[in-house]
Amino acid sequence: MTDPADYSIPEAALALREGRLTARQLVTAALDRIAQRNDRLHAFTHLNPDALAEADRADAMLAAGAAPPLCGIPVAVKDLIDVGGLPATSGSAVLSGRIAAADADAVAQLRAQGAVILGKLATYEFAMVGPDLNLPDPPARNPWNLNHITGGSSSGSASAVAGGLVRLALGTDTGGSIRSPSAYCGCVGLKPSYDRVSRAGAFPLSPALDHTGPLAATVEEAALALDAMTAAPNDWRPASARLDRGAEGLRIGYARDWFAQDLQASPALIRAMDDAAASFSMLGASITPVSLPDYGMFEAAGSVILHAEALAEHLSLIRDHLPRYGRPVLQCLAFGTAVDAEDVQRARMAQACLTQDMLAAMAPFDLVITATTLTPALPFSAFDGEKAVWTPMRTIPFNVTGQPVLSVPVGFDGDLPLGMQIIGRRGDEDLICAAGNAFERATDHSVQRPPL
Amino acid sequence: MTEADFRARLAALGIELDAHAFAAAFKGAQHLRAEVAKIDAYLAAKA
Repeated sequence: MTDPADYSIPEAALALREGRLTARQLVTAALDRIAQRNDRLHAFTHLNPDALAEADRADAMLAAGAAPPLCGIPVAVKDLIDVGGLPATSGSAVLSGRIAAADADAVAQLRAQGAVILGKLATYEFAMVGPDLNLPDPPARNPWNLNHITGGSSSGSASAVAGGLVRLALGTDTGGSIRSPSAYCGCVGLKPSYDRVSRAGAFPLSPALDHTGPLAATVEEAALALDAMTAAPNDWRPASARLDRGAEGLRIGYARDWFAQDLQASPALIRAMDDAAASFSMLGASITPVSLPDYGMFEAAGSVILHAEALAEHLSLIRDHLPRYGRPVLQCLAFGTAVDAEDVQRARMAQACLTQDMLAAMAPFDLVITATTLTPALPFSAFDGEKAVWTPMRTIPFNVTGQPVLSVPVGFDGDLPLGMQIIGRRGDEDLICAAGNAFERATDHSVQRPPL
Repeated sequence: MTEADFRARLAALGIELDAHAFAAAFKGAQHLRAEVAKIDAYLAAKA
């Protein structure tokens, strides 16, 4: 018999409605799984002491026949996002002891849909850089190889989902912080269109680039979660509306040059991406090489905006808590002093131009695919906790443009997962999820489980 | 941006770094200035 902790969200929701499972049983199974594995993964930093009481309330709603779509479904939340009554430290000693007064908007939306909050998940300090071994919470570990990082900053979210602790977790993404850990850990990450999900109640890194979104075990679950997180009424097409559309007839641009020409790109990644393009072709999509605008320009505009806004957000905390910052984060904040308001204004002008350039390049296509990261997850030994180390990714351009992107597992390099981005136009979450779902079902990447 | 400029900017915000951290931060700051120059060239080409 399948452990309820391994039920997909649709499977669990059906079992709950048919009375074959209670929310208390489902949440208990998740808590048991966390107890079995979290000592190795360090994905959860705090458990919700009221999780079982919340499950009982969900059971009462189910019994009354008034259950919302996610009633009784366990969800975990990156510790950058507030959950009322739970610790909210953003992974930093600076905010040690802080308890959130209220739910972030995205959490409140999920609660309104009946979700049960299991607890808080590890994050890189203030979502900025990591891993840092000198912080109060140990860094989350990659379920596929515990000696490797998860990527970040939604490190605990990816570790928890890929490690089978929970099917759905919330994360944030300012330069790739949902997508890169999803790729490194072998789960699905969905960065929505800019402003589709409220950022209120999430500690800001760079408000012009910040996005809140789900990490999940499958595309379907990510799409259902995004729909639950999108405040109603709204004009967005539901992400889950066309999941069974397939990939037939889709015009897909393959941005191969964007990663394959980089000497850092792993040969296994290039093979996996070429195989993915072939899979889409087999599914009836047309695959055409596309040259996207210069990646480096997006990184330039994004970096200037991000570092300037991050410094502005932290000025008062720096004044009062300087010694409590981790060294890599403080160095990153220091970078921001190198740019002034005029530089940021010009970066914002470049952001607008680059968005137009990207949309022009994508004009002949419904979607574009490219790699999420250039390598699998690095080992912890590559990080000394003294200085910031960046891992090569291809994610920040879509924080700059605000387009929706789905990262799905695309294969392995040795024992470590790799990810592919599926990029749409603003509001096209339904189309990227349709393509991702078709790819997921045609391949076996997403059903692989780590050896825990 | 010179090292002295960068040091002054940090001091104005009360950010104190030891020599090792300062060297790493200054390298990052120089990189960010190079990114600014890249943006200026991009916008000039667009104009």
